Amino acid sequence: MAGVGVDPTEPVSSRLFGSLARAQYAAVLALRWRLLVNSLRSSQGAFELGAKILSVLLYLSIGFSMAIGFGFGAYGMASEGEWKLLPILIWGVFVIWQVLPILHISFKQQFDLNILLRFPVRFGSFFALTLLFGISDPSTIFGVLSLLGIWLGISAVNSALALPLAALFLLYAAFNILLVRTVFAWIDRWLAQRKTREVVSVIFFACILSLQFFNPVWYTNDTNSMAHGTHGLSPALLHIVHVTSQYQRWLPPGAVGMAVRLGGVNGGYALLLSQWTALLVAYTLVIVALLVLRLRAEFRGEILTDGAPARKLQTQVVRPLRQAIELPEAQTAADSARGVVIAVISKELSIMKRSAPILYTIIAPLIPCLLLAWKFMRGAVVAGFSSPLVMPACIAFTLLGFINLISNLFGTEGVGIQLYFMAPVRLRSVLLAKNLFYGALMMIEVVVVGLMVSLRMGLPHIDSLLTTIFWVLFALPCYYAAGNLLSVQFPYKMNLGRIGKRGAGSQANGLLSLLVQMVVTGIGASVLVPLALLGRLWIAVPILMLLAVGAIVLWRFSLSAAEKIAQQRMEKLTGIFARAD
Amino acid sequence: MLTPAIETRSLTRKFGDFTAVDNLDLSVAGGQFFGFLGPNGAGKSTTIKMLTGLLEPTSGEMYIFGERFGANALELKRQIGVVPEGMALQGRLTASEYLNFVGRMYGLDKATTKMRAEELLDFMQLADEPKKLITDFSHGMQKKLALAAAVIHGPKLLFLDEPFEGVDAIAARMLKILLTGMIQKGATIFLTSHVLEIVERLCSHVAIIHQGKLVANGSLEELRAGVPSAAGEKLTLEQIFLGIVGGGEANTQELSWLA
Repeated sequence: MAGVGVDPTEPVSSRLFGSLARAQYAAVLALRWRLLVNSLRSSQGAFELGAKILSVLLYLSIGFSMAIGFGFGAYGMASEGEWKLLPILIWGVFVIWQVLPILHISFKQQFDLNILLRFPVRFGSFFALTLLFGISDPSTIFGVLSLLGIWLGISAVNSALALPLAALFLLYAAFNILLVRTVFAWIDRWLAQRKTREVVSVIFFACILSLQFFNPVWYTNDTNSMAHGTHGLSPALLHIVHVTSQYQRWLPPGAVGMAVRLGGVNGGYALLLSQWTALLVAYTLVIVALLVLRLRAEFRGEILTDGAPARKLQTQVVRPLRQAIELPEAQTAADSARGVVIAVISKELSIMKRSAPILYTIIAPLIPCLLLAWKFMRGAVVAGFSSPLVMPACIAFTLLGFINLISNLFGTEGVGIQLYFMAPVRLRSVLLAKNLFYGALMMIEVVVVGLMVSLRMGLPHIDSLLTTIFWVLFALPCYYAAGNLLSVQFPYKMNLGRIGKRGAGSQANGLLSLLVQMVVTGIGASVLVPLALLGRLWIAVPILMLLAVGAIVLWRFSLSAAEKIAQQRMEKLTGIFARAD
Repeated sequence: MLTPAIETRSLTRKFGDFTAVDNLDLSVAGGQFFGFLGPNGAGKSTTIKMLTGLLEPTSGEMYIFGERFGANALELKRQIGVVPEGMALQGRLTASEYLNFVGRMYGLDKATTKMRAEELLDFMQLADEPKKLITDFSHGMQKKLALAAAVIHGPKLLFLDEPFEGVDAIAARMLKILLTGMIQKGATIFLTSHVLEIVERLCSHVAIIHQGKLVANGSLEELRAGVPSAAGEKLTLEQIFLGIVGGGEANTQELSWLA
């Protein structure tokens, strides 16, 4: 059977790296390679690759900065013998590794490994591939580099710890990778069915809301407590913090911190033989078991949808339509545009209200905003910023949550995008409707954030309020103008059903929208910060007003330009959304 | 002479070096149930995409009700209904939400859209599960919904790309009743299908495209006359089709490595 590859007459090897498994790994690698090469056939594909390389470089540079920070932190703690503080860094790595993927939910479609299930793939291979795919995501890069930094910092102080610490950190890295995969695999399972999706959404939002209440409770506004050196923490909460620190050691990051502490004090391999390392191993095994449980179900062919229930067998009588369906009277262009705008907004609302990931994307930025508001509380000055900037800073941050959605306005349409080309509608009306829909949501969020900041810091000064309003009027049209063009030039298909199966999407879209955000925020900051520092914030009002007028003109132009591009790229656009994944 | 519902002259579409549709000259009279047949990759879907404004022709001309797509494109699109290749559904809407969306996009007012959507869902027997998302529908249910969406605005010309693919016998009967009802009221239907028995039963005229070129066009009787047959034998559409595009002889060569 020369040239056929694996001989089908031979028994299939049961090993993870048996001949069949190796052939399959090679086939998957070859497939990925071909997908990459084929994507370069178009100029957009080449641009996408360039953007991807830039993104990886960006992630690496952020990761290395983190590694340096963590490294110096670990070095300082180890050289001072402050081993008890080390869990702070380990917890930091944990938060980066686990929280970043949640904040980075992008609904982008990626290579779905479930397509492999129709082939004779062993569960071990499926499991291994599930772990390996997405290993280069930002959270893993940041997590690994941060751990590397801590390892270097500690090893520089105590070289005897280098090897055992490397083994411990490898285990900790494996634990984190497994935990991320497990959490997303289970969330996907829960979100797959309508009822559980609704329950999970309610729990999710309850958690977010409780987090919002947690901050004001945690940091009391009592200036006396500051004076007594309690840094704004109420005595009751200080007690909670003290008690919590006793228990954190029983959680994986705490256990790692305790093991390192033990190694630092007792030296050498004591850390590997400690109960804390054993505890981490136990946690890892539990997580593996949970992931195996989930992937086994997928491997057996579980379908993650509500599915079509068995219909009752009944005599089906075809009833004639009660009335003739006839062509309506022709409408005026204005009536038609109004109808389109209303129809699209209603549709977007229906999709949004049953999509927990979209709701999450919109609401998530409110949390850091509240934290930011605390930082600038009651006239506090931090790192050269003064409190008049809190309102615009918080609002600027909140708007960032929408960028993912407004830079890819057709992402949720799927094959449905064809309707916009088949129906008697102007695409600019569709874009206008989508802009208005997200614009209304953004304005609601702006008002909520404004109220939040006002409640935390008191009513803003009129200068601060006006500059904020005009900055929003400048930033929103800019974001929409860029978003409209990016939506037709670099669109990608979003998968709202499975947040765990997120992936690359269009790197060019992501990078360019990031660039637009940086430019718009940069322009706003370059106007506001110097004037705020000089105490002449009112001068920013007319400047931002002019910028806002220019941005609105730009946005109106973008509607026509995007329509024109969409008509020229109609075939490409429908192809992208109709494409099998 | 009446203006044809569809007319193409030397309609051509190329993808790079590949010519998907090659100098297509076609005329479909108003009120006809027109079957457009061809083997896989013959250019059927490409033709439908061009005729519905989803794809720009490389060259040639096409007229819908005597008018070209151009400045009048929106008014022409208002008179057309399409069930495209991928059905163009919105998976995360319910059937009712989707029909209401489509109705408004075609310019129906809210009350009319609501009334027609309810009627169509009832007719298509999709009204039982109002909260179910389209993504959770079976393939057949999705096909019925796509057809309902294509007719909600009462088009004069309906393009159907494989409407019977994956549809059970009950649903197929329902679709046939709807389509013949439309023909009786004067609509024109342009249908592609691989289910030749259905085409034979429904269509008054048939055209066959092969490798992008129109190889046959006419009524069933005209097509029969063009294919040699034994005396007295009435050829089925399948026999006519295979006689024209070839492949009538089964490939008897065996694959040695297959069990």
